[in-house]
Amino acid sequence: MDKKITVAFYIVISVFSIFLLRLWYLQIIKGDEYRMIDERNRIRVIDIPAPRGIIYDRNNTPLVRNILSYDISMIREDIPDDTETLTELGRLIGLSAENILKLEKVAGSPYETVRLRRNISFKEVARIEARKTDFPGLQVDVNSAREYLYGHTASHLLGYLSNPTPKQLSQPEFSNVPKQDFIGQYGIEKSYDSKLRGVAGKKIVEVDARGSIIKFVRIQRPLKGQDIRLSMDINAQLEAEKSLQGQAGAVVALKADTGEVLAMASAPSFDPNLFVAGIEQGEWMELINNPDKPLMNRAIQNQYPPGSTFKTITTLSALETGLVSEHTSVYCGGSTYFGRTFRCWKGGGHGRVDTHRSIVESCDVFFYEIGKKINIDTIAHYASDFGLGSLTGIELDGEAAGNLPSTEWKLKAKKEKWYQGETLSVAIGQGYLTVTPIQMARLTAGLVNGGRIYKPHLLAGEAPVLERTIDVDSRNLNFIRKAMLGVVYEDEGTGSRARSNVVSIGGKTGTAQVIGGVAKGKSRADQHQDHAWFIAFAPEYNSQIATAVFVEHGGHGGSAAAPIAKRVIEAYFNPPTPESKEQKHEAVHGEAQAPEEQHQDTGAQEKQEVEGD
Amino acid sequence: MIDRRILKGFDWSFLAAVVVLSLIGVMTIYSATRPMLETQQPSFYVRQLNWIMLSLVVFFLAVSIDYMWFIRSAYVLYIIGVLLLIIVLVAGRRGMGAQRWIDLGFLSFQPSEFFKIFIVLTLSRYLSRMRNGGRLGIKELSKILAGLFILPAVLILKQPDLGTMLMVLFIFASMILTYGIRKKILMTVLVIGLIATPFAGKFLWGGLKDYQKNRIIAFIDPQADPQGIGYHITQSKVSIGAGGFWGKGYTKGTQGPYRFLPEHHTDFIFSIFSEEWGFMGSFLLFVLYLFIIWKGFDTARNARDMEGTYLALGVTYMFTFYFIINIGMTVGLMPVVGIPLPLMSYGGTALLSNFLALSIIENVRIRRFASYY
Repeated sequence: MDKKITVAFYIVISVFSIFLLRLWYLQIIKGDEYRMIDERNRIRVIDIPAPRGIIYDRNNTPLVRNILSYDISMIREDIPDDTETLTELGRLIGLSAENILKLEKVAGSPYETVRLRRNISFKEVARIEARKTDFPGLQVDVNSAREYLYGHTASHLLGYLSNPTPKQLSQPEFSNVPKQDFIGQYGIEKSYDSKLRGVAGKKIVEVDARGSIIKFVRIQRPLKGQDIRLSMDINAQLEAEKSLQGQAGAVVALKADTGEVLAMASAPSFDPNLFVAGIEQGEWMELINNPDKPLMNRAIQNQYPPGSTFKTITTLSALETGLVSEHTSVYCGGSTYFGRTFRCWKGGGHGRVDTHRSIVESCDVFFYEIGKKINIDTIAHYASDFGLGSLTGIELDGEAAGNLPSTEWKLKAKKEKWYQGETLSVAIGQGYLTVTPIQMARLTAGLVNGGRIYKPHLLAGEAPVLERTIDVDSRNLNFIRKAMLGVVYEDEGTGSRARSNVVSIGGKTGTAQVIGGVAKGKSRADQHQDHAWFIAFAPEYNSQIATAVFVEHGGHGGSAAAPIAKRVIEAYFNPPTPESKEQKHEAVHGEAQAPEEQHQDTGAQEKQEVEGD
Repeated sequence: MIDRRILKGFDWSFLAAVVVLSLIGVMTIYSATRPMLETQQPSFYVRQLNWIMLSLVVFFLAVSIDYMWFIRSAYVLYIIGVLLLIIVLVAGRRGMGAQRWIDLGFLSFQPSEFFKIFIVLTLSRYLSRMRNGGRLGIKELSKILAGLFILPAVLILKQPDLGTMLMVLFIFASMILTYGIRKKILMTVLVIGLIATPFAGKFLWGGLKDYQKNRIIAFIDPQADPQGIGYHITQSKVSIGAGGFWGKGYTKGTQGPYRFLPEHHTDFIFSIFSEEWGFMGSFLLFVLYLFIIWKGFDTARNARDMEGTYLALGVTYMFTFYFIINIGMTVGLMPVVGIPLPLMSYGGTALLSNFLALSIIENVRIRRFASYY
């Protein structure tokens, strides 16, 4: 038995020795050969970007679409190391060697795809395909890219896409976003990025030494992003953009009984399509350094005094506290005295005006008289109820809160007590008080919907978020509504330019003084012009739309802002027929077209609408 | 049950080698299953660790029982094993084209894994109690084959599980050869085998499943179907070869996560190991395996009784066959047969049965001086 066991063990040892010899053969003798094969049949992971969700307007008109984009990419490992080949490659694909190296650095692993250029033309595709064999690993692949169908229109609202920044990539939120992918960086595209983005897929392929795919190992299909439907109405939006053309300003239109955003325009705007192929450095610097700040969303970021549009709140505060009644009247002789002389915008004065007429004609003296008696904190209380001085909470980045002065604020911010003289300025919407267009639109909605303050929101079909119902007498709200209708329809009303045949419109003009005048970097002749405001609602009863129009250096609210409000409201109630819609579309695209109509009107009625103090 | 004398005889170096090998297995499973797409490491290696814990407990429990108890229960266990094989065929769970698992809900196992141990027990009992003075004649041989071999072999082939069937055949052949067989019979079997091979080959070839045929073709000519089964052999050789003398380093291998050898953490685990640890690592690994085998033979030689000798031998043969067939396949010296590398390949049932089998060696070893006990 022992002998047999010994034999068995020797047999085992010989088999082990054969195996070791075999290993020696494979690993040492043929090792180099196998290492080469191993390196040659490489595995690649290629990201498959997910098609982004489509953004529609409230009537299901698509605002964006996904187009096929021919992109040039290369596996990091395949990017040539020597400068000569690199320059040659750069010449072929139209990129400098430095830029290629910069892009190469973004990729972490050597097997990662580096996207060198996006959305190249067919001609370039043909040229590159022809010379592809000179650069192993060079690939032209088809991905999906965003096209913004309306170009500049609603650019601030829709936003744009670009590569995630290194900081974003380190956040868990973007952990499964491929570095080469685009994510929303502004506007809706950013706010709803996680919804729109979908989930990128991946394919694992085996490639030969030339980088050609020889085998699909595994594929993980991308998941398309969710579509979203905006509450925005593209007709109202187009009209707003068209009306603002050539000027700087903003239009916000809200659905008065829900807070849905029907239009949000900011001018000047930018073309989000610029970002589709990856924005070039020059174009980006131009956007950033443009003194007109096209990337700024003036609808939520501009903070200026509301001017006479604020008289609505002053009146409401005075009525609510019993300081004035509907029958109170004041004699306006063009100015009043309280420590110093306070002038009415109308040099000759308005004569005797009651509460109603003081709003219609926007008499400053009437409000100075209120300002002499009213407590600033009373005004601040009502203004704050209507949402001034705080963020509206719209789901867009960078919203400004404006400033709502009060005794407490003055002590904190200026380390000084409040002077009653300052109340006179606030009473006519000047002084320390600053607001944003979206705040004013919401305030207007609150005035005509029974004092309900909704959180403005951008998606259609979402339940409205009622923040509060302001405790005010409905008779007082009715009184202000009547007065605002008077502003548009009565003789001497400052907002007569908003008169419409389509729907009854009420409104209030306003002019924000430019103090000290020169805005940074401005060299235009109108740099000392005041800013024009107009807030409006329609129709008279059961108002559906509330809007605020702001035109930077536009001059007077009645002439510069009121016609815009009218046009936006009309576009909402009376959408253009498909043909005229086509025209409008073009008009917005063709920027050269000047808003002639508007210039004529301004000339004709200038006198009547001059306003200010 | 174990007194201090026995405990003193416990061979810790043997158990250490077994545990070290299974831990190397866990390490390699971790590296082999590194994910390519997902960020999360699959839990194979954790599950394997859990199985090692369980197997260790079973190892100690089994060692605490005198192996004579197993010898006495051998026939009962054999019958239970056959019954389980029948249950598998009737109500087993299918997986990868074969019906090999019994699903108990909370865990599933392959009865054929344990049946191999029962075969060793049964043969040990049978052979150690044969007192015919040396060599087996034709009568005894046919009795053994008809009584013990044919039924389970057919049942296992029916699953089908060619690998395990071969294993059972090898165990029978090696243990019978160890016992001794008449020279005349041995010569006759050899001659008949040689003459019958062409005829039987044709018959057998027809009886093989397509995938089994492919494996044999692929072994003879790996380039014939480089994307199919030959692909495994070629890739296995490439990855071993690319390891070189020192290897690519732990978790630096590309075969596991990138190549998607479907059995890279089970049957082909050695190619992953060898890619990362090179010739040196593989040599040391072989030394560990050889150490266990040597301990097995040594135990057989010094056993208290013939039962102990056959038990230790049977288990050692089984362990050695597993090793040889698996490594032979991975290095491209033998056809691909679905046989895992003992102790290292992923798989709970196989690990547990290996521990159980090796516990028999320890069992015989610690009782070698206790003949009067």
